Amino acid sequence: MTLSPQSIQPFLSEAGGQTTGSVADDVFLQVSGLEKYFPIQKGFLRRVVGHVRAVDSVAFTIKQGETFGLVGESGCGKTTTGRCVLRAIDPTGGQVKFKDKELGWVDVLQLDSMRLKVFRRHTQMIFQDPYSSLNPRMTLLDIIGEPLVNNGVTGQKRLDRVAELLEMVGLRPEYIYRYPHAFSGGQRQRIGIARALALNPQFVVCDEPVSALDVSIQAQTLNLLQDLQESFGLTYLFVAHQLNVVEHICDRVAVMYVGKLVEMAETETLFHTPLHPYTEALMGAVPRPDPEQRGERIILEGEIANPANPPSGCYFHPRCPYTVEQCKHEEPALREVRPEHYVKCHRAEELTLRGVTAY
Amino acid sequence: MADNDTLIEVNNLKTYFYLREGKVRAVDGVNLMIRRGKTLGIVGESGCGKTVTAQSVMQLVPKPGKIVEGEIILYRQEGAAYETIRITDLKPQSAEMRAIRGTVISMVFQEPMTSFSPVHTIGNQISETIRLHQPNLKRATGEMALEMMRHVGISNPEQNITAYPHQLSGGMRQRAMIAMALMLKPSLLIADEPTTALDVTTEAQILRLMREMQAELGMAIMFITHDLGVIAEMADDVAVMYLGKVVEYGDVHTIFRTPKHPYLIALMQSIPRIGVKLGKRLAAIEGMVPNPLDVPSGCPFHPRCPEMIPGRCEHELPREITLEAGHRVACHLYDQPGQGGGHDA
Repeated sequence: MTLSPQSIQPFLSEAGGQTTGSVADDVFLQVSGLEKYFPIQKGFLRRVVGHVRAVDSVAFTIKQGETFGLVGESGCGKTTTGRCVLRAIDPTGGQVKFKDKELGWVDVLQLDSMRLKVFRRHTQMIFQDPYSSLNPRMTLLDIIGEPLVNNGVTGQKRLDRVAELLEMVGLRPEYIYRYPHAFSGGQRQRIGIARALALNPQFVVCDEPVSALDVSIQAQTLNLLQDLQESFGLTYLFVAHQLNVVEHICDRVAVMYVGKLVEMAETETLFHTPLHPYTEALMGAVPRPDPEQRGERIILEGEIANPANPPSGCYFHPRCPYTVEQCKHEEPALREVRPEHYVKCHRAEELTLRGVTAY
Repeated sequence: MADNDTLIEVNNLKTYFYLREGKVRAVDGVNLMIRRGKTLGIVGESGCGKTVTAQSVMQLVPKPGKIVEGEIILYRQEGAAYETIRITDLKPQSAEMRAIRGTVISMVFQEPMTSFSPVHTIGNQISETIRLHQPNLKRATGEMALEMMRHVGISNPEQNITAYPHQLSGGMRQRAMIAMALMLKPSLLIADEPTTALDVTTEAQILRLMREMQAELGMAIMFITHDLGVIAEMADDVAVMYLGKVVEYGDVHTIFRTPKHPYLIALMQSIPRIGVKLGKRLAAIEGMVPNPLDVPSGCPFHPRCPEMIPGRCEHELPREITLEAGHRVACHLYDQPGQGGGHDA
């Protein structure tokens, strides 16, 4: 089943906007109306009394070879989105279209187990915590070689490939029979990256890949991810909460708040001319390594809304400094306010918000 | 030696851990000073000894750790007079040390979930310090706890005073932690990565709260973090630590404007800065933080240092050089024969 890119044009259902002609050609992944509701169960009979809307009608596209960032505070659904896209967990609704190099255009959520296995060969994940994502009882050969074994690569071939992968991520091939405990956090993250690359994937979801690392190790790891992207033409979905890291590595960025996308644009546009008050506040809150700029920041009041019981209207209105009456009752749509710049705010046109350069 | 501005003085502190595998010099000859009402920021990567330094000041070094050398002096204000207490002479379990903890020095931890008791209410835990240290106020503890919770911005204090820690959000728990630490109006608050587990927007709220409380109570803060951004936001003085040693020390403006130690310079260059385009690649520091059981000889940073002087840095431990008043650096680059510059003993 090979779908032409044209047949899946109207994907930004919420935006309701037309996709520009150029997008469809290099689009690689299309997510539309993605939903993941977790049931809240109560009582002896585990009755379902409500749902946590972890991901709620999320739509975006990722182009070939780019790094697409997903940022937001903890609990905003960014990790769940990343997992749903790979079908590491099954979403409750929506569509994910992926341009697989063997299968062509596929609807990831409809794949049968045979095709899913092929799809999973081409998509991989790098996890946040390098201490809990590696089995302590397996050697590097077993860890990095496991995806190879599962796909029929064994013996000397596997050994050679693992050694090659180790070298690729900057570890010595002699380490092949060691166990993860012998490595530092940064080295473990390299092992996780080597494992993800074992089968030459097209698409890698990086879930907070540097958050758990020391500052001096973060830069090395980011450089490695960029080098590998260049060498192998990888496409990344980069999930993170550190805005400086996202600004550095991503081509386009989407901001999430309580399960929904609130803004999406090219990185520079988003950071310098944000259109959503939440984006402005998020960027204003990042402490800058410059004591001369002390205190010049927006401090958002209140706390992130409960996704099981979100506020009416715009989810952000109780914390938003620009709230008007309309925001309390009516949920704004994600609109293309400027070319390639999507915002979910009633007042996007009238507000002048501060970007990062304004500090 | 110390004027009335000094609250705590740490001289040549050495805290070692005796493990089966060997001796870990977690803190190895640290000199610090905390000024009254000011914030000392200690910045460094994991394993650099910043937390153990704080634990030493509190005499709370976990076993098998021990303060083996050096002194920590507390200049305690008693009305107009100053009392000198050598903390290092006190036994960790002694009544004097217990009296100092909580009343003079108190601490806020990184992960508020694991530092609260899960089976006692927030109100109960906040007022515990008063019940322990000032039994004569016993009757008013509930009132005082409520007042303090209101003060640190806990929403619904009347309701949350009977809540258990798991019922509060991360930001609220950290506020409760600060309320608990401030109950007895300490002269020094030690904050060990207090915002690392929080989201940026919550972090901004907590940092503002700490600054407000500092202005109000006039306490000093020892702020431990790995985040140079937070240091720039909070600190008056900064100590940069690497493998148990202070490699650079100075006031916050000097440190950020004219960093001297190659480690600090490299660290600053390796962080992507928001709003500043650094180009495609980051200037990463090579290698990794060495194993603390096997610290490199000479200057501990030399295997990763881009400015390493062959023949010197790998053999000779650099001294602390005073570049200008209050700006110290431990690096051979600034201590070369024929180069001017005052020397610190």
